Order: sequence, then C-alpha cells, then structure tokens
Amino acid sequence: MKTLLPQFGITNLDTIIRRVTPTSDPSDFRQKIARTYRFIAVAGRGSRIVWGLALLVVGGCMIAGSLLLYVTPLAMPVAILGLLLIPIGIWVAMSCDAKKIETQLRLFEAVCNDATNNSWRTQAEANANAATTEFQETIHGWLKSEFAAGKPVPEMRDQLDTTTEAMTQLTTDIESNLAAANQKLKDTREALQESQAAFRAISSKKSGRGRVRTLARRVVATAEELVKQGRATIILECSAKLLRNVAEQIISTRNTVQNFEGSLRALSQEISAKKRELTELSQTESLVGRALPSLADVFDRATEVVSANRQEVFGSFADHTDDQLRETMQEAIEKIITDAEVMPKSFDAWWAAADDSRRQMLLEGIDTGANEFAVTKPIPGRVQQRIRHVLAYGGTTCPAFEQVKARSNSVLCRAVNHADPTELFVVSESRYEPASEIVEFAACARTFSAMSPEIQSLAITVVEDDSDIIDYKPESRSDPERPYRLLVLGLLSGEVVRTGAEQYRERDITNPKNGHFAKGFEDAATSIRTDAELCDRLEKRINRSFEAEGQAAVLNRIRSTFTTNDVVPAAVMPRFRQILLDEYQLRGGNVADLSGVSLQKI
Amino acid sequence: MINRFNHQNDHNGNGSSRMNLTTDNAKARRSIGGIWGGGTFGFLVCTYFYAVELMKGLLDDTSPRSIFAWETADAMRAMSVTLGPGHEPVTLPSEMFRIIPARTNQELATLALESKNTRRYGEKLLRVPEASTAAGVGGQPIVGLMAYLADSPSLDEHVRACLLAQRERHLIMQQSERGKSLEVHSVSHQFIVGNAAGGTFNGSAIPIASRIKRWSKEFGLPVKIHLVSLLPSVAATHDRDLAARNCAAFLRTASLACEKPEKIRIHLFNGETITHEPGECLFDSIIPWGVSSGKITLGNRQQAAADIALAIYALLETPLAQISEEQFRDGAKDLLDRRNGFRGFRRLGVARFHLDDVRNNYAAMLAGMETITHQLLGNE
Repeated sequence: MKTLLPQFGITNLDTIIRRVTPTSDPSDFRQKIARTYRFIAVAGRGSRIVWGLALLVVGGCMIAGSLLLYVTPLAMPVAILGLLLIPIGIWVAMSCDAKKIETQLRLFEAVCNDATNNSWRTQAEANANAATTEFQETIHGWLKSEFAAGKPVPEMRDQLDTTTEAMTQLTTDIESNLAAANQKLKDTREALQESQAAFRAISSKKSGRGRVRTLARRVVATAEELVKQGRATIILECSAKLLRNVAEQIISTRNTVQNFEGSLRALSQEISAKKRELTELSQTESLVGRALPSLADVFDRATEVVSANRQEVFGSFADHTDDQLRETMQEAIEKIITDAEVMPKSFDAWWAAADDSRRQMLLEGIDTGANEFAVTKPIPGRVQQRIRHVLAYGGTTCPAFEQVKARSNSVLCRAVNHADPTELFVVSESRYEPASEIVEFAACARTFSAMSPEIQSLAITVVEDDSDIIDYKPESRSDPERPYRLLVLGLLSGEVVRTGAEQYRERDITNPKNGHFAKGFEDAATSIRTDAELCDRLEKRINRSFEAEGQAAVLNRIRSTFTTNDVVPAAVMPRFRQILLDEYQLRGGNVADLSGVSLQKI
Repeated sequence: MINRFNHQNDHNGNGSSRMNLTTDNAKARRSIGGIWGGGTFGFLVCTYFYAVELMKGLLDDTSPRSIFAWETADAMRAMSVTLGPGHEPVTLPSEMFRIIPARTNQELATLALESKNTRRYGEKLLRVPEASTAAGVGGQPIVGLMAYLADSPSLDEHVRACLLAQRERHLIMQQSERGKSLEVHSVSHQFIVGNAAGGTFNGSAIPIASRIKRWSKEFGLPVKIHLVSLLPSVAATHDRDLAARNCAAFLRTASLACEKPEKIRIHLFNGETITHEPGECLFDSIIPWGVSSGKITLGNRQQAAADIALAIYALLETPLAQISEEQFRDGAKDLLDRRNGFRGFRRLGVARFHLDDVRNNYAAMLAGMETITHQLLGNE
C-alpha cells in the first residue's frame, strides 16, 4: 500500500524543513555581523593613535631638546624621559580599546539571542502552524474526495496506516536530526564560551590591538555559528512539531476512518440480518396477501438504482463520517429511490412492467390461493355454484382480468371495480353447498354420532332437547337405500307391520285413515323416502326398539329372519337379504355365519 | 376525477341497471356492517380486520363499520398482530372488545340452577370439571354459553350500541347516496367469526346472532348475518375428539338455526327466554373455514385469521358483498333441496395482491443500504 505523504506534499524531511524555514531573516543578522566586524576592526583606532603619536612626538622632542641642551644637567634626564616616551607612544598607538569591543561583543550576543530565539523562532513557528492548518485542510479534502469517489473504507484505512508508519519514520528521523543539532549547538555554545573567556583574558591583560581583534573576531564567528546552529535547531524543532501535528492529524483521520469502518460493518451486519429476516418473513408471505413486486425484484431494482446514483450517497455523508451515518445514508437513499420511482404506483403499472414469468407467477398464485378454504367432496352430477370475483381498479379494464378469466377454467369469472389502484383481490365463492360435501363437517359429525349422549350433551347449548341436535343431521345425504333399509329394519323390529293385503303400517297406529302408509313394498319405500317425518319417526322407533333389545338379540333376530321367506314378497327377497346382511355386518356380526345359513337356505 | 365505467352491467345476471361508478363512488359503496369475533380466534380475526382497516385509513368518524370481539380469556387483552414485514404491531382498542368477567363453573352453575328455565344448563355444567373462565372455557361450549348468559346485559348493550351506530351511518349514507343519485344499499352484512371447535364462540355465537337480528329489526336495519366458523383442522387443540364434537354440534345447531329457528331457544338468567319465529333464520350463510383449499394448506391459525379478515374486508369495504348477492341466483329453491343435506353452506377463498409501500420502501432501503455499505467496505 502506498503512503499518502506525497499526496499531502511531504516527500521527505526537506519538504517539511523547507515549509518551516523562514524565507527572510527578520532580524537582519547578516548586517549586524558585518557591523560588529567593522566595529572590531576600527575600535580605538582614533584616540589611541593620536595619543601614541603625541607621546612619540613628545618623546622625540625631548630627545631632540636634550641633544640641544646636552651641556645642561637637565639634558640627560630629558633624553632618558624622551627615550621612555617613544616606546610608550608606540605601545599606546598600537594598543586598542578592548572595553569598547567587549561592550560591542555583549551587544552582539544580545543580537544573536534575538536573531535566534525571538524573530527566527517566531517565524518558524508561524510557518509550522500555517503548514499544520494547511495540512488539516488537505487531509480533510482528501477524505472527502475519497468518500465522494466511493473508495472502499478498508483501503483508505490501510493507506492511512501506511502513511502513519511513514510519518513515524519521518518523526524518528527528525528527532534524531534534532538530537544531533542540539549536540552541535551545545558544542558551539561551549566553543563560544571558550572564545569569550579567551577574549576576556586578553582584554584584561591589555594585550595588543591585533590580538584583541583576532579574539574578538573569533568570538563573533563562534557566536555566528551558534546562531546558525540555533536556527537550524529551531527549524528542526518546528519541523518536528509540524510532523507531530501532521501525524496526529493522520492518526485522527485514520481513527475516524476506522470508526467509520466499524460503524459500517455493524450497520452492514444489521442490514444483512434485517434483510434475512425480511426474506424469511416474506417466504411465508405477508399475512394479508402477497406483496408486489416480489422481494427479490425490489432488492434488485433498488440495488441497481442506488448503485447508479451512489455518488449522491457518498457525497452526502462524506461530511458526516463520525456520526449520523445511518440517518445520512437513509436520507440520501430514500431520495434516490423516490426520485427514481423504483416502486410501481399501481397494480396496472406493476403488470405493465412485469415480464411473462412474473405474470404467470401471479396467475398461478391466484389459481392456488384464491380457492375456497374448506375441502369438499362434490357429489357427482351436482352443479356447483361458483363465482370468482376479480376486484380490480377499472374492473374489466384491468390488464390482468382477461388472463385470470382464461385460467379460471370452469369457474365463472366476474370483474368488480375497486377503488384502490394498488391492490387486486380475487375472491372465489361457492354458495348453496350441501353440508354432506363439507368433508370435515361430515367427519366431525361421524365422530359426534359415535360419542355417548353424556359427552354429546356438553356441546349442545341453545335447544330445548339434546335430541334436537343429536337426531338432526344436516350433513346426511338422502341415501336411496335408506327407505328400504328403514322398511326392512322396521319389519325386522316389528315397528312396521305388513298385512296380508300387502299393506304396511306403523305398529300401534290403528287409525283406519292413516293406519297404513303404503300398499306394496316399493310404495312403502317411496312413502318413507318422500315423507321426512315418517322417515325420522320410523328411524327413532327402530333405534329405540333395538336399544331396548340389546345388540345380541338384534343379531339373533337378523339371523333368524334371514332364513324366513314370508317377511316380504318373494320378488324383493334378494334386496331384503342384502340389507339384512349389511346390517348384520354393521352391528359386528360374523358374516361368514350368515353366509353359511344363506347358502343352505336360499 | 377519473371516470371509469363499471362493467358489472354486462355480467349482472339479473339484468338490472346499475350506476356508472367513479372511483370515489366505488369507495362510497362500502357496505354497512360489522365483524363480530367470539373467542380467541374471533378476537384474532377482529384484530386483523382492525389492522387492515387502520392501514387503509378507513376507521374515521364516518365509517359504517362495527368491530366487536368478546372473549373469556383475559390474556387476549394484550394480543397484537402484525400485517407483515415492516409493519407495526396493532392491538385491538379496548372499546372494540369485551372480556367477559371471570367466574368459576360452580358460580355459573349456581346461577343457572336458580331458575327453572336454565336448570338444564346448570345440570350440564355440573358435569364439567371445576375451573375458572379467566383462562378461557376449556373448549366446553356449555361453559361458553353460561359465561355469555352471565354477562349478557353488557354484551347485549355492546351489540345494541354497535347496531345503533350502524343505523345512524346507514341513514347518513342513504342521504349522501341519494344526493349523488346512486343506489341505496339497504342491507347490512354482519359477519360472526370464531372457532367452531372451541368453547367461548361455540356457546355464545348463536345468542349473539340472535341479538344482532333482534336489534337490527328494532332499528329498522335490514340485515344479513354470515357465520364464519373455523374448522378443527385449523384449531390449535390436542383433543381432536373434543374439537370434532364441538364443531359437529355447533354446525348442526347453526344449520338448525337456519332451517328451524323456532327450535333455538335461549333462556336468560333473568328468567326471560329468547325465541325465534319459524322462517326467521338466524344465519344467511354458514362459511366453514378449513386448513386447506385443496391446493394449498394454511400455515397456522394466524394465517387463517388474516385470510378471514381479508375476505370480510373485501366483502364489506368494496362493492363485493352487494354484487355477490346479486350475482348468485336466488337460493331459496336450493335450500329446499335436502337430497344432499342442508344447503346453507357457503365457501370463500381470497387472494390479495397489493403494492405494500411500507414493505417495499423498507426492502428497497435495506437493499440500497446494503449496496452502499458493501461498496464502502469493498465487499463487492
């Protein structure tokens, strides 16, 4: 991974140092040095030469006077005095004003201090601060541009990591340079102190002018070197400070990016979980109908649109990387989805946009989902009354209606105008369905009938007598064999009496007007079939009679009657025996016994 | 306003002339009526229905709709439903249901044994194991009936108030529709929903239907009562025999209430007896709801409840209830044909396809955010 430093304008240490180094010398140090040198060169030159020359002249004059007046006793002392004055004059003329130089050097030291610690440092620090601010802007700009470009965050983080490492290296380098510079500065400072000490020694010994000047110049040169070293050290210090600031900025940016990445990862996981949850929930479909478009289509379309407009999202939250990530992202995505009109606004729009496979899926959904929720076993031959209503915006103008109609096979299909353009209802309805066709009801009724009256009783509520429900069988079909069965069992139980005139009547009913209900076996069966009350009454009487007798007695009676030939006319004897056989079997009798009898007797 | 021609004329077997409907008018053709849910399942259906109405924004002051649930189990009070991914849970408001105050079977039996008319109920009740109705009636219809009778004044008042409100809405709608020269839909449709295999609904549905009939008649509100009953295949019970017994007895009683309403007699604890005239059938249709349509099988009771709520929504909130009445031929003759048993049963199946903005926006947002996060994380 490449470091970002060149991108931030930092190629090496020099670039940093150059940024920090003042472009001009505010203290005018060069001129001050030159001035000091000049001062040293001319210091004491005026008065001491005059005095020296004066002494030389006086000494010369005195020697000359003593030669003129050699005869006088004063000549010798004057000559000696004159001879003394000449070297003194030479010494005075040759000597310099060390005090002034010393004062000048002290002033120069102050200048040096000022040139190093004040103006230079101030400017270097100002440069470093400006560079820090500038860098801050640069890194923010970079971050923004990277986000705007949609650059992967881990890549950005890696780059920043690499950059941080490079910065650490640079910081180490500059620290090392700074240590060396400090050492050098220290050495120079010591050299200065030494030269200053030497100068002071010479100065106090009233050494010659040349020597003083030489030492003074050495002091100035050392001080100048110290200033250079000091300035270099300041530059390095400021550079180090700048580097540290830059490093802090980069680390801070890296942390921001890392935090952002963490938030993104958390958000990504949360989104994945929610998406998974939504997908799972949608597999069972919404409880209130099937939502359109399919979830996969919504995902695909939204992904496509958001991908195409991702720059908007990246741009929008580049400024909000540290917080409000979710809100910013949601806001931007919501806008994109709304603007792009990702979702169809009406069923018709969905239908128009859907391809054949999607339309077929919807039609299959209607085929399977819109059927009535109660399984029936239709009686062959009975015509069901079924209508499928398609409630759609626009009624028959709904583009799906014709296809629904075409696929509804035998079901009558009707369109109904529906006010809501966003939904389509398909309602299948069957009416006047016989209870006997409702498979579950018939099964429940069988279970109910098999229960004891005590248990049945607790489920019977709003009728006066439990028998109103126990004996009421809306789920029973009128079995064509049922009248024959009742007639035969009636004869068997004695509840139906057959007279010699082939008349059939109920036992105990002796009223001549209604004493018999039919003449002839077939007529009797027809009467039972058509007269529901007679049918119910007979059934109740037969059941009561058999219950009173007990199962074994009934079976015995069936067995004995089975071989009798005069219970019914000979023509209906086969049907009579078949019914007895079925009843015997139904009541748990062993059919083989009865079959044996029948084989022998019939 | 967009004018759309309603093509029902073309298909109307009666050949009667109807109106041209605008979309707004189609909305105005909501039927007067209500949903009455008994027991846990009925409560669930009512909650789904309420949630759908809420989602559609149909429950304003002008709504001609009654939603009322009654239940014995107190736990149902906090029951909530969700219409699908992204939707908020919805709870039935307290004014739309009544939890019948808890009593023990012993207390109910004592009440019943006090009066000669209700002694039979009390004797039956004594055969039921002792329990409180606080957690439901334990699948015993006789306890359900007793719980209803014990609370009948309050329940009756709720029924009365609901029907009175419907009557008021009915009058207003009549005025409104006359103003627009539209057909006045005079019949209200009341859907009584519950689990035929349970106890609470099983014991109280027919008395409630009776009261609806009675108050409608008193208020001059023409009414059709439809019984929607869940079959044991969907019921959540381990005692299949008990469920089958309850279902059979209930459907037989409901059929009897259609065929021979004079046989239905309800003795109240105050000594009064509710009787019915011959020919005044209590139910205009009995709609059994099983687990399977023959092609698909429902996942659970929730799905069944939601489907029933949707079917009732489609019937009440669209012109369907009226149109359906018109499109099926008169069934009087069919009802007399007893060759295949009682023919008062009606079956319904509903499929709804809709653009669910809530779900779609939620899904699109998730997909969009996933795209962006993946891209930012370099997971593409």
